[in-house]
Amino acid sequence: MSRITDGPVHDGDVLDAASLNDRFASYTQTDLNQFNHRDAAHDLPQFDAGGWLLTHAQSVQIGLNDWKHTTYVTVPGMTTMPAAAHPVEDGAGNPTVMSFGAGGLTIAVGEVFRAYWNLSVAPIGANWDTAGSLAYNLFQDGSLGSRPSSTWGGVWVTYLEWDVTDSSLTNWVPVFGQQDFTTVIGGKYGAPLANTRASAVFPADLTYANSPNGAYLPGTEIPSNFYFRGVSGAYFHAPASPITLYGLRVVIKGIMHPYSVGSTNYLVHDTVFSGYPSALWYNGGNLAVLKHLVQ
Amino acid sequence: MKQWTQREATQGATASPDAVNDELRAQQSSITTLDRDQLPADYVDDSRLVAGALLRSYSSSQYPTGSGEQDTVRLLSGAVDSNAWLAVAHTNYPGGWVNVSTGSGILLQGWKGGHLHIEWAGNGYIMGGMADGANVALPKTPRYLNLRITANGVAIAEKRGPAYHEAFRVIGSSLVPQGDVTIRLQYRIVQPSEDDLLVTTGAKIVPQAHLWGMRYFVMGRWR
Repeated sequence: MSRITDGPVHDGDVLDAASLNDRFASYTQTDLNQFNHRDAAHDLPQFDAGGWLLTHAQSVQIGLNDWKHTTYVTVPGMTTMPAAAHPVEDGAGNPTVMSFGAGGLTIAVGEVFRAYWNLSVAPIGANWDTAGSLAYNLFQDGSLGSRPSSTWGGVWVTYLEWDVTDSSLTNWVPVFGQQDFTTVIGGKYGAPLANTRASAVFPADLTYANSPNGAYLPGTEIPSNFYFRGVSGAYFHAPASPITLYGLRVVIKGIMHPYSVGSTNYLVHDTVFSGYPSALWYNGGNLAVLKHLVQ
Repeated sequence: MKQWTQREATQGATASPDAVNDELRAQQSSITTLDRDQLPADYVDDSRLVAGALLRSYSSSQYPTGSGEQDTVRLLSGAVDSNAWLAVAHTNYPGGWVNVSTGSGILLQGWKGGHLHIEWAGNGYIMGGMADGANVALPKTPRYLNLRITANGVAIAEKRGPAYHEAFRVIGSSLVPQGDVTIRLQYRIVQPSEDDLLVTTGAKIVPQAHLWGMRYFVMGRWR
């Protein structure tokens, strides 16, 4: 080693050339350890290129990747409850998932798993203008009548599911901290907001109340078309015990809407639509994951 | 490179303590701290370093813990219709930037000083349905749920934020000196116009904003 561990030479010590050379020879470069260098002495060539810091990185295209958006996948608004989630697919019925192979991807304690996804989406129709729809707000004035207006709460939700059973990729479940919106709350199907750790939403429609201009009621609603827009989400998980993932995918549910019971907030399915074709078009996107040491 | 720099002891020469003491003194720096030429390539990995030597990450799949919702400005139960959240309204919003959590913020303990990268993700709701009124401060302008991140009280990232009910991601970075760092995630909404309808038929309050499903990831790199 190169740390000085030999005692100093004192006056009166009996020395010869051999003992001096032994001291010199005791410093070698074959036993480097934390005593031999400072952190600041490290430079890029000294770092192992074997990926010990970033232990995994992977990405996959999801959906129907047609950048001109001339083709897309249609997801009708869900009305039959409990609704099955729609896995993002390629337009031919093939879910586009991320596979981690036969051995899977193990997230060890001391590692953090990061997942990012995006998707090109275009909500069509409206879900607010029918009495009974959760997005339907009615404003009334004693003399002037009433006017329905949108709550602006209606959304589609994308969230992550993983397969932690085996590489057959037939056992999909929501990722840790995420629920599949099948809990019954006041006759609605949804999930508490506390269980939406991997959710990313985008509006189900867009409509503005026309200018009331000092009147008591808003004017008639003016719908706007969203066209295609992007939705992106992120998920972070540092497990308390090791977990092996075999697959990861993005799924969609909708139309969803805010809901509250007592002091708890929920996101639930809104199954009452207007005569519009309340649905979702989506195109392509990307799903990417990183796994690395916490420190 | 290891070599004698003072006087090499050779067979038959007269030895003295200074012969070795001079050498050790002269080589003090290069022996105890090997220069980069002396360090082998590809030998530094996590087995060579103490935890947190180079970087450290802090993350949570849910913030605030337990709910993931902003909990600082919240209507009381019964104040809203069932198709609305207990959330921010013009009746309870205090104005200005508000923390998303009543807690003491996100404490980054063991911060050694260096580059801070933070990602704040979640979903935001802003009621913009009345933003097309004739008397809004900025006509025809959507209403936004402004978002920002502060590190020890200094804003390091700001974003105009959601204009609908939609997912958001705020990413910021800054150089932050050594010592524990407190991160605050904050939001702000704008005032209503005289056109806004603030209560529904049943005299229930119309929520204006909310943040939910929030999570964060922070990476500190020291060098």
